[in-house]
Amino acid sequence: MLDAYLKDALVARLTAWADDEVVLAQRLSEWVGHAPILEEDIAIANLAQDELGHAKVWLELRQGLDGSDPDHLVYFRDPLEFQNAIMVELPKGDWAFTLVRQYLFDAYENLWLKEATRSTYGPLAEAASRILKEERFHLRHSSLWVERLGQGTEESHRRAQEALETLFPYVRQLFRPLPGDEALVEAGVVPDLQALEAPYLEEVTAHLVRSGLRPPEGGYVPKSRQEHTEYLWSLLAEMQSVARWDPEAKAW
Amino acid sequence: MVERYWEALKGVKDPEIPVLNIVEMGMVLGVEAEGERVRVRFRPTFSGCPAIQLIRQEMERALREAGAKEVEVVEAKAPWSTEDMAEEAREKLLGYGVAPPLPLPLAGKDPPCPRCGSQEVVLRNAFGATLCKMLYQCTACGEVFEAFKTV
Repeated sequence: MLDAYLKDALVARLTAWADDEVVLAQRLSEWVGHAPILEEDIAIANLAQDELGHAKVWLELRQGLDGSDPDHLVYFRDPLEFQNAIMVELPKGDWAFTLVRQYLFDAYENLWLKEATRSTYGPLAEAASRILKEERFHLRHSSLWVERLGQGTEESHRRAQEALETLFPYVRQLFRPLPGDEALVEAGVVPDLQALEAPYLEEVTAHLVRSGLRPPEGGYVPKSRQEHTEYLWSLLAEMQSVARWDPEAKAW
Repeated sequence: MVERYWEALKGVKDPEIPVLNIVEMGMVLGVEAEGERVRVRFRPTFSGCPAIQLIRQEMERALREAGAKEVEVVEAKAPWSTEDMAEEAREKLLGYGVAPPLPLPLAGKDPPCPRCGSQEVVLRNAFGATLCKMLYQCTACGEVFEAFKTV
């Protein structure tokens, strides 16, 4: 069982993780029917489905703590209440932007999930090991694409490098703690994300350099997950439109 | 009594791989019955599997047909693994043209071609038509085939 003082902090943490997945899934799903080749169209639909499935896992864990309704959180919360990181809400851009973002996010997820499988909170440890199994396939797919784009043609390299210039500073937001994180880390409930930033940067930089790309230095790192760009509003308006149109429906 | 319900659940197919039923997939962890009340402990395979809703409905229908008046499906959170699949399920997959999952220690390796058995295969895509499968091509016989992911 979880001590009461940790409950609120974990609810906030789970919400942040879930919101990252929900928003990223929505961005990925915008490619369905538009990806450059059929196999990638299928792959990206798979990725979107997986990320949405993972959001469900986190929100059901949250439900177990505070009784909140996962569907309601996803479809009826306003943009300012979303706790996703900025990098996942940026518009889908071109194929290079999408795959570079996916790689940067997959590498982050694989890293912290591995740590989270040792959580002292049993349900979280189980959820993490379940999701990690699926995330390994994501990383395999997106890291290969980064290599392909980085070492491909002059144009693919240029586009991948441009995507990296935009995305890289935002990645560092993923490692910023939430107000309640310290207590959770101390109790061994969630991994210390701040401590994972250095190993992450090392791993990712090595792969990017191998792929002929150069991670930029500096750039603006958002201070908190309350910060959003204008893009989140239109994304959620579209994602939530059907549910808001018929709030009594049992499924969408 | 409980046996009857187990039998009924064997009639519920995985809608995405219709040669397999949910019992041999290792998705049913337990069945308890008290009179006409049945409680099933159930575990989904992939967390984003879109077939879950349908499988739940099918389970309920199968159990009602077997005599249950009240059905409760409890979703277990412990992760499912391809190690939980019964041997016969692997054989059925092979017969269906899908390379069965490899044993867990071999995860990350490529499966032999289900058509000719050759090890000379190339991964075309880590994502197939469904979440649980990958797409391969055999360089020996040319067959394009799906392989069940080892998880």
